[in-house]
Formats: sequence, C-alpha cells, structure tokens
Amino acid sequence: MERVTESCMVYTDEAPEGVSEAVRNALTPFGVKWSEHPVHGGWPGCLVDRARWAEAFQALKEQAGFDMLVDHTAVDYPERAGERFTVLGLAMNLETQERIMLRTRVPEGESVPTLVHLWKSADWAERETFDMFGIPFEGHPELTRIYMPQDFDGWPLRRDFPMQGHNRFKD
Amino acid sequence: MTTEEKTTAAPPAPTGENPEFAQPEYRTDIRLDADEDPGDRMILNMGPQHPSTHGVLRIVLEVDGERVVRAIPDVGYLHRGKEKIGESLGYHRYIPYTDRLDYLAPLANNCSATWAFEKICGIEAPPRAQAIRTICCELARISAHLLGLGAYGMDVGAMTVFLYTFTERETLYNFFEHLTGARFTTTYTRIGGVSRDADDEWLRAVHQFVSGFDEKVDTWENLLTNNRIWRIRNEGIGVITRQMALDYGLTGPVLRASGVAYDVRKDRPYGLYDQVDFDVPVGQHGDCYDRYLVRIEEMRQSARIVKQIIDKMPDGPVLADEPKYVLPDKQGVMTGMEELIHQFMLITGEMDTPKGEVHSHTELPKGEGGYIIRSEGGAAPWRLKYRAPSFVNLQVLKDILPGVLLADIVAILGSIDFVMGECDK
Repeated sequence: MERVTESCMVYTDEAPEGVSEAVRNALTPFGVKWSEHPVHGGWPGCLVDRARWAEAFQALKEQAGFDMLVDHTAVDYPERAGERFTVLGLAMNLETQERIMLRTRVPEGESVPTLVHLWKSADWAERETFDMFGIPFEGHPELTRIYMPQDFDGWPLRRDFPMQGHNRFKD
Repeated sequence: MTTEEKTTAAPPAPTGENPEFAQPEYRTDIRLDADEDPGDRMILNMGPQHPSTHGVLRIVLEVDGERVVRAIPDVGYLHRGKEKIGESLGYHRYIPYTDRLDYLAPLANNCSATWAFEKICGIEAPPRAQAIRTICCELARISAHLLGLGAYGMDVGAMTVFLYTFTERETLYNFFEHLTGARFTTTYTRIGGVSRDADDEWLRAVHQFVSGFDEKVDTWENLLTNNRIWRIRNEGIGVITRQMALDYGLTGPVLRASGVAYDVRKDRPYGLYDQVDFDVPVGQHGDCYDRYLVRIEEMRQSARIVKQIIDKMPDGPVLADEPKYVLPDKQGVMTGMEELIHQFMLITGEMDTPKGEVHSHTELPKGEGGYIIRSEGGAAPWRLKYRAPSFVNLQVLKDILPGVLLADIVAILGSIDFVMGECDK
C-alpha cells in the first residue's frame, strides 16, 4: 500500500481568518491546533485532543451557539504511526451560518468520547462511523452496526479492507 | 467433499443452547416482559417490505392495541458501499453511482457530486453549465416532490393525487430524456460542466411547462389542502418541534416545516441561486400537514426559479477549459486520437488532484446533501463521505412515533419523504 500520512492537512497555532471571536474563545482552553487554511471550499477546522473531544463540542454548543451536528465521519491512515484514524465532526451555528470541522486522532482499538449527550443526531452518526471503521465511542448507549449485518466480519471503509470483500471465496 | 462425508458431518439441529449456533443479539430484538401480562401489547414488525415504507425501511414497533409504545427504525437493507466505490473508482467514474443515491432525483445528485469534485480540483464550471445545472436541480426537486406527494396521498387514502402527479412526472422525465439521453439514470454532469448543451427547443418547452405549473399545483391543492379527511389525517400528527429538529440535525422540508428557515440555496448560494429571486417556505407547527404545505410551496418556488434562469440564460461553453481535470469533448473523442488518449488517461486514473479537504453541501430535495472529501492526490479521493439527508432525517422516527396510532405511521413516513437508496448509501 502506498504510504500516505495525513499530508493534506497542515496544522498551526494561529486561527485562520474567518473564525469568529466566539469560536476562538470557546476553543482556546482546549489548546486546539488550527488547520492552516480553510482548504478551498472547506471550513475552518482544528485538531482537538481526543480526551477533550466531547468537551470541545460542548463548549462550541454552549458558548458559541453551535446548535447542529451536521456530519460525522472518520478517515483511515493505516500507515500513520501511532494514531491510525482521524475522526471528523462538523458542527453548525444556524444563526450565523458558521461551520467548524473538529478533528481528533485515535489509535486502533481505542475509543473516542461520544457526542450523544449533546446532539441526538450523533447516535446514528457514531454508529455509522463505528460500523465502517470500528472506532468505538465511549458512552454511546447502543453502539451496534447500522448498515452492515450484525455478524459481519471486518470494517468496510478501512483502507486495507479489500474492495471485493474478504469473504468472497469462502462458502 | 463427497456426499457421504457431507451427511455424516451434518451439524446437529440448532437447539439455541449451543453457543456455536447462538444468534448475535440484535438491537431490534425487542421482547415483551415475559412475567407481565401483555394485555393488548405486542411486537409488530413493519417492513422491510411494507408498501408505505417506500423501499426497505424496517420499523420494529411495540404496540398497545392501536397505539405505538416504542419504535426502533432499522436501516441498511440497501447498503451498497457507495463510499467505498467512490474511494476506489475515482471522481469521474463515481458520477454514475450518484444516480442511484436518491433515485427520485438523480440530476440533483449528479450536480451535487460534481460541485464537490470541482471544489477539490479547484475549478469552476462556466456560467451556462451552472445555469443548466440549476435548472436540473429544480426540475429534479419538482419531480421528487411530486412522487413524494403522490405516494404520500396514496398511503393516506387519496388515490387520485398519485395519478395527477405521475402525469406531470412523465412530462419531466421526457425533458430529462431529451436533455441527458436517459430518463432515469441520467449521469448528466461532468467535472467542469455538463455532458451536453441544452438546446433552445428544450429550454422553450421547459419554460412553457413551468409557466403553467402554478395552475397544476392549484389542481392538486384543490384535492388535498382543504380536504376534510386529508386534514384530519395530517393536522397535529407527527409533530417535530424546533428543538427536536435541531437536535436530530434534520434538514430540508422537514426542518423548514418545524419553523427553521434554513435553506442552503439561500444561505450559501451555489450555482446560480444567488441571481434568482425565490422564497423559502416555513411551517409553524412541524406536523405532517405543514410538511405537506412546505413541499407544495417549494414546488411553486422551484418553477419560479427555473423560469427566471431560462429568461436570462447565459451563453457560452458548457465545459470548462481545464484539460487537467475535465474530459474532452465527446465529438473529439470519437474522431481524434489526442482526445481519445486524453479521455482514456483521465478515466483510468492519470488525473492528479490537489491535496486537501473540502466540504461541499447542496440543497437536495430531501434535505442537505453534503460531501466531505479528503484528497491525498491521485484520481480517487482518499476518503469520500456523503451526508445522506434521508439517513439523518429518519432518525427522528424513534422520538415521534411513540404515542401515535398505527395508521398515522404511514402519514408520518409519507410526510418525512425519504428514499432508502440514499439513506442506505
């Protein structure tokens, strides 16, 4: 497999332009690292410590008025040393239309704090991420597969999962 | 293995005690408490083949007589691994697969995907292509809402509406056929534009259609809006409050019926939406009836948008001049060596996209459809995430179904208007 680490993202300490004061204030205590530029057409984003993943979203929700969790997913970098997955969560402030993409990194087999207590939409969103990548979410009430059969073996959206599925020639 | 061996090696019948045959515990395996007298309570399995679930949605219900006590929606019967396909095939070859997401509005999905892919390439389609795409998105919205309305009416018992709306859909499908060459699986857009230009005859016909569209909507409204049975079946049923809608991240007509005026077309215009004048209908109560009214008004607004765009249709090419990412003109591919090689290279994976992460979102008929794309270079995205509005919208069922009558479920499902092809990806 081609060696790919998260080379598309460059993180700095400085918040990019276009990030509102409220968001800056809410996220400063978490020591986040900002992605260098809101990549073409993207949103400002930052890297959060895994242990404080849920707290960072809580701060966004309570202090900066982010009232919707729009999207939630993960990216797999099998070759990255130590921390294999990057988990993404996109939150939106409906009033100002501001969006922010929070990211955190997690090694294989370790869990990420759940967001279910903040947004009910996180329930299925996290189940989907779990189903596709096998990342457990700590505190999730019913973390079961959602798309794949419950007894399915493997995590389909990991980069090392073969396109044809690995049970193809078994009976 | 011989036959004798097979018979001797036949496993014992599953007893339920042998751990080897124990089935895993499914979250939908709900049971009544065995010690309690069940009374009128029972577990009812609705779907995945129930006609009102429009596809393969399964809802496990615990009912007390006719009243729903608990509801667990179960999705995933149509999962085809669209994201995995996208990650292995690449941008150009993924566009046909978007037809099969929300298969009631393939054109809108084509456009949505291409807008996202253009962002990662850093290019933009020329104005005429943007105009055609905007028209396509709105025609697809009308077509999707028409089917939603027809099926919704039929589920609730108003059979006639279905026949009216399908007549109009036929006209729309003829338009799609003329424009794209296919009625259903259109695969119309290309990175950097659209596959073929819209001719004047088509534009005139569409203009004529949308000009007379309001009267047609009036006809359907005559059948439903003040129909006593329709109102009794829908008013106050399946209420989604504003807070609930935000908590569940609902989008599209379902969110707007709950009183939130959020529409991507207005708030973050793409295509030509910043140059047209239209209103965003908003409901007050968040019940089935409001969702119906919002959809009806949205169709009128869509017709209005299409009319305005055709009136000031820009001229020019329909494909951007960006040979690094954009496929060459089809005529050239059929006749010229260079173009053929060029097309072959782009399709087979010689395209090199810039590295980066984009998030692109558009207003699809069912709600906000968004792509998160991570590119690490190359012709295929490293990660392609599609936010399916139907998937997000369906989650609210487990909160709004408890307490309603069994017969109201079909009204609620019809009013949420989901497509399982999109939900299950």
